[in-house]
Amino acid sequence: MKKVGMFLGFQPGDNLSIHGIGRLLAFILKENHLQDNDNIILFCPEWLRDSLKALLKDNKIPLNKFEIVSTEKIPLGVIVRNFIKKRKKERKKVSKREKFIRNIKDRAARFIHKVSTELFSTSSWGILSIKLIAYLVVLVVISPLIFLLGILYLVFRIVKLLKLSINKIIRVTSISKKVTKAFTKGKDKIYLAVIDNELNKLVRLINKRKDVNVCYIPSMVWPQIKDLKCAKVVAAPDIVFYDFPTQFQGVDSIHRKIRKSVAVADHLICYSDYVKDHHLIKQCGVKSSRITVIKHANIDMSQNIKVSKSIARYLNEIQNAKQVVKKYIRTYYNPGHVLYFSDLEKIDYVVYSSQYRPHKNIFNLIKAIKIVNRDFMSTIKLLITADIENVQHIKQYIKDNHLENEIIVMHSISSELLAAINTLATCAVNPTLFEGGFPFTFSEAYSVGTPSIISDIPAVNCEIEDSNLKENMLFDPYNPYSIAEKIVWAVDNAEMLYNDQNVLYQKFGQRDWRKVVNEYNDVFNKFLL
Amino acid sequence: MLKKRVLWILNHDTLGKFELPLMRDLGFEIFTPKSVTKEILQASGSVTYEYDTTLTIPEEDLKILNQYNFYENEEMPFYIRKIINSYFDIAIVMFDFYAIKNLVYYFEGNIFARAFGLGQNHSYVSITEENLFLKMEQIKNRFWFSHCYQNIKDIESGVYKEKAVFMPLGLPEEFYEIENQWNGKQNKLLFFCSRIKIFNDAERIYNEFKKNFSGFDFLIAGNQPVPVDDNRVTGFLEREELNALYRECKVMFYHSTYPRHLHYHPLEAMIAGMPVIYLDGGLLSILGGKRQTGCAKTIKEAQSKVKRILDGDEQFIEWIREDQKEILYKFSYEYNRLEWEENFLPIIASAEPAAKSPITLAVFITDHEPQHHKDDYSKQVELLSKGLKKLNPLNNVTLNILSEKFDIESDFLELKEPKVGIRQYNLESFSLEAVKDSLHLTFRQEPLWFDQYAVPVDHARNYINTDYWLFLNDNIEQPIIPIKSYGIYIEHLGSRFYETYTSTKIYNLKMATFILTNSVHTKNELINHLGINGDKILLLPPINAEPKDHLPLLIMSHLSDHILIELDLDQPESIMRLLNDISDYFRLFNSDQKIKLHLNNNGKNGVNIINDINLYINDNELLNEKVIVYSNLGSNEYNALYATAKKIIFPHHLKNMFFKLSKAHFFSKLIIINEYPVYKEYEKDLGCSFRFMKFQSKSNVILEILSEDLTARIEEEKIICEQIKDSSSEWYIQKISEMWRKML
Repeated sequence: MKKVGMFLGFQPGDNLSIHGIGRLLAFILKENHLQDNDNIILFCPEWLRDSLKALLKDNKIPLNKFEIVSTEKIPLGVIVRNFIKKRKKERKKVSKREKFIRNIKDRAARFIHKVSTELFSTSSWGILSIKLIAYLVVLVVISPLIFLLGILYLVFRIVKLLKLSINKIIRVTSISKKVTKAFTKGKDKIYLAVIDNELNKLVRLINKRKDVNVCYIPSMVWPQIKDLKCAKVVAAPDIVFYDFPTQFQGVDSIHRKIRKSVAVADHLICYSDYVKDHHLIKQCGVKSSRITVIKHANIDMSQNIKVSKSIARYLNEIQNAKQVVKKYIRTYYNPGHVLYFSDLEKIDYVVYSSQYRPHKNIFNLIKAIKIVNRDFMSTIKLLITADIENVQHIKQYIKDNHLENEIIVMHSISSELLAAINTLATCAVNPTLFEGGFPFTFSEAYSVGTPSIISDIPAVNCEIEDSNLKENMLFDPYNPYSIAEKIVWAVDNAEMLYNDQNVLYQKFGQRDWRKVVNEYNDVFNKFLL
Repeated sequence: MLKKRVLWILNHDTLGKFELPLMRDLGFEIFTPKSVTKEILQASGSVTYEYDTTLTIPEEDLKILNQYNFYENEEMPFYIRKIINSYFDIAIVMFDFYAIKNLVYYFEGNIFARAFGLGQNHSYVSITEENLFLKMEQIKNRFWFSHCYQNIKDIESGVYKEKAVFMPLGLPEEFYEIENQWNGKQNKLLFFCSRIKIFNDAERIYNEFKKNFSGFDFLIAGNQPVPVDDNRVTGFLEREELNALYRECKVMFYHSTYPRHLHYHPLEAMIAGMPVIYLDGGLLSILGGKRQTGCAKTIKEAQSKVKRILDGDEQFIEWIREDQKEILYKFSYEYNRLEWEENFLPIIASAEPAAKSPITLAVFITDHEPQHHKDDYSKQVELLSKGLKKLNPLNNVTLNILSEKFDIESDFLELKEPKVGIRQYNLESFSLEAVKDSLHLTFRQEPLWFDQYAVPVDHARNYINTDYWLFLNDNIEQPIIPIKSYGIYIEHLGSRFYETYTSTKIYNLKMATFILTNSVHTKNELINHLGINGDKILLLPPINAEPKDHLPLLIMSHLSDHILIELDLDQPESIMRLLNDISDYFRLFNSDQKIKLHLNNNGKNGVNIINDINLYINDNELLNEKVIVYSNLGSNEYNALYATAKKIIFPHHLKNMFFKLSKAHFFSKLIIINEYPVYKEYEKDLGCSFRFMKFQSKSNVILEILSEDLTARIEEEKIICEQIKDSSSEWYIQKISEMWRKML
């Protein structure tokens, strides 16, 4: 039987369940599972196996449905790197040294307490003398060890003092920093080389399988696929750098990888005509016949907050959503957080579910929230799923404008929680500058009863026929004031907006995941013949 | 016939179907919770509205109770405490520690904690948190360990053993719908194991059963919220589907050897007439009679007995069915009613209603510079006290003032007559360890999140002997010790425009039992901006005092000569910007206008900032003759400053805004104020109009105001105000007592 291989070269630590690509993959697998089609083999490095299983489990796909082939073992380089990373994380919480010292102190205190209690509880002078002698003997026996520890501690202190003094004179720190930097750079290079090597192994694994005629590669950043002997169908979500060349610094290497993948692909699948025309044909010169556009279908998030049959009569979806969010808040926050003990259903908030990328336009959205809450004196929060911990300019802006209680970040969250926060949100907002929110964020929100407002960009505008609806749900994503005005309007008119958007949801609903996956399978089948 | 009301906090489907009708037959009105956590529903929980019709309590209170989740890990809100203590005498509660804790701490009636027995030989004492157990010991005159099987109490101690009362459980009528309908036409072994993929123990039992009975044709029933990939596992079944299994499966195996806990399904099977094979040592073997044909000492014996049944040994099957009747009697209505009448009813009959004691309330002023609003605070406390005494003349209020801020001898003399005691206190910082100790000694069990806590200290009882604390300001920078129910008065959330409301302040509001405010807008902001539960926010009419000896001041008010600007020292940058704007004004207009700045919020760095401001003014030729700075004024000086102003400008949202605005209004001053919906409500309260400006905008608003033709503007914009409401009037007291009534 001829089979389709799926080349899953994701990096160690990648959580497939929270990535768009992972979710798309899950849809393809689930639909094939429902159609009882098991001619798919999943190829991945060993480090991805658990994440892949979690994805299958999360989407209720039996683990034994599809064959999973992985590299033999996780390379030492990855294990060491993971260990260091984990250690660094732990060190951030409480340093091991601190823990160790605290532990020693506690033990010593307990020991002294125990010994003195025992001594002073003795009622006979004779027994007391025996006990004292016994303790002295023990002390004499272990005295060399105590002496040695004392010396070691002394040496440690002297070295530390010396280091400090030398540092003052010849600035060792700057030298050591340079050395560390060079070392880190080298270390990263080695790590990347190890990963490349694993992906090459994966290619060899696939090449060994004579039954694999075509391979689906869901990302363009694995140029190792050039050595695959079978046909290569590569997913090309977008090459967004071409639209925002000044906002993606340091992507040189990724860009090269993408171009290599595009060059070796036998066929490309993208999700919109825009990417096909503007990125693949216009920028990369790919022939139109080598590209298939397969648009997504609606995402029905209500499945994620449905309760089991046995309790459905007592707990509706909104109540369940509240409990899901509450559980998360109780786990990760304390009562000093605005969401603690709060009823999210009664709080006006808008949600933007997206990862952080420059073209997602999160900064303008945050500026809009400032306008909403300061200039318009409203109290509307923004809940985002993007991890902005390392985006300094946004963090600084939030701090400078006292928005800490108004911008809530919940990243790396489960599908259940994502569904719950969409359910309880007053409105979803998508300020993206590229591709728009159709159908993903729009249907995610709509399927659980929440309307959306979206950027007025060509990809969005062309999908809405009703000019009144356009006026109500679109805003200028480049103007925070326009976003702010629309948010306030949408929060006040959420119910009406939701009703008006039904026509859009139905329009996108005509396309379901069965249809989408069949189109994927049609592309694969061309290479299976 | 008894006429008592019961809170039945159990929400167990099967139990409810037996126990609720039984209690109704015994003459009780019953409340059952409607809002229940998912975990409880998943553990055979259910919700019923059926017994609401038994209740004779006001509909609106029932509606509130129906929305409340008794199983949440949150302090019971005051409005729930009030309802349950007003209408209910008895609470029957399952061993859910969140539910038990709230009842033990806040319910004043008799509490029956239902013990259904734990697995293995675990006792309830071993799973009860120490402080909660001590609290149960403290209230043991009305706490009862209501055990369902006789042997449960044997391994308990303390209050659980001492106050044990046997209240067995029975089986609902619907179980008997299949009575004797067993036909065993499917030669299958039936086993129950629910939530296999949720609990490790369940998975272990499932695997052991599969291993032990691999040679048999079996079915495994039980709810599976997470599906199990095994076609012999049925998952959730509707009652009719389940009954079909009881009718048709040939035999059931019950695995449990717990001596004090039993599942319902073997009993259901027995009712149907299905032979059940169970293990010796388990509760079934304890409840059974002398002859127990279905009992097996080992798994091997169980396998062989199952085989005999599957092989169709009729005599053997009949013996088992006969023996099972003795077990079933222990779960019958007759047996249960008898036991409940003998054990439970006498307790209820002799229970005394909880005595209502007078309430003591300690009010704290935590304002760092309260002197110039002393009279306002005094009036506020006087009215709070009068309102509280309307509920019960024995209710008592003390006003607690920061030691260094007032003279206890001469200040607040006006509170002597309404019998408000004056005390001095300090807000001190307690370490986590000290707080833990204090909580332990008051038998409280609270999660502690911080290293330091604020404690009001008078070096006497430290207010532990009062019922409630009320802080009149929200400026406490440390978490308040969670040892006493407390309230916070919060005037408005205007500071959110300048700074982030800190997590400590949020914590204090979240942990507060009640929050007082005086505008609907602030209530909405508390809900929306800080996520506070709106039901615990009470609206208090804004209160102000007439300035003392105001007649000369009113005469002086005609001699208006200066513009008064109220400023916040916490915003030095904004003050300097304003001084620049004033400079611009004098540079552009050759004016003799006098401007007085009153600097509020004179905290830690206040002196330094005031020095900087004075230095700036002195060095600036345009300002030094015309701008005067005031801070830390006494109440008379402050009144005079207002009385002699031409108009008063509020470019910031300040603390005590209503006090200030009502004072300005009293002297009929033109009020120019930063835009904020709260002040719109104050306009209505005071019966006058303010002039709103956008001070936060980038334009020079002060210059705009100063450069207007002042006299003309004042005449034009002065609004004829309504008579100021007499702040000591019955209207205020009535409103305040209504507020207290809602809470207490």
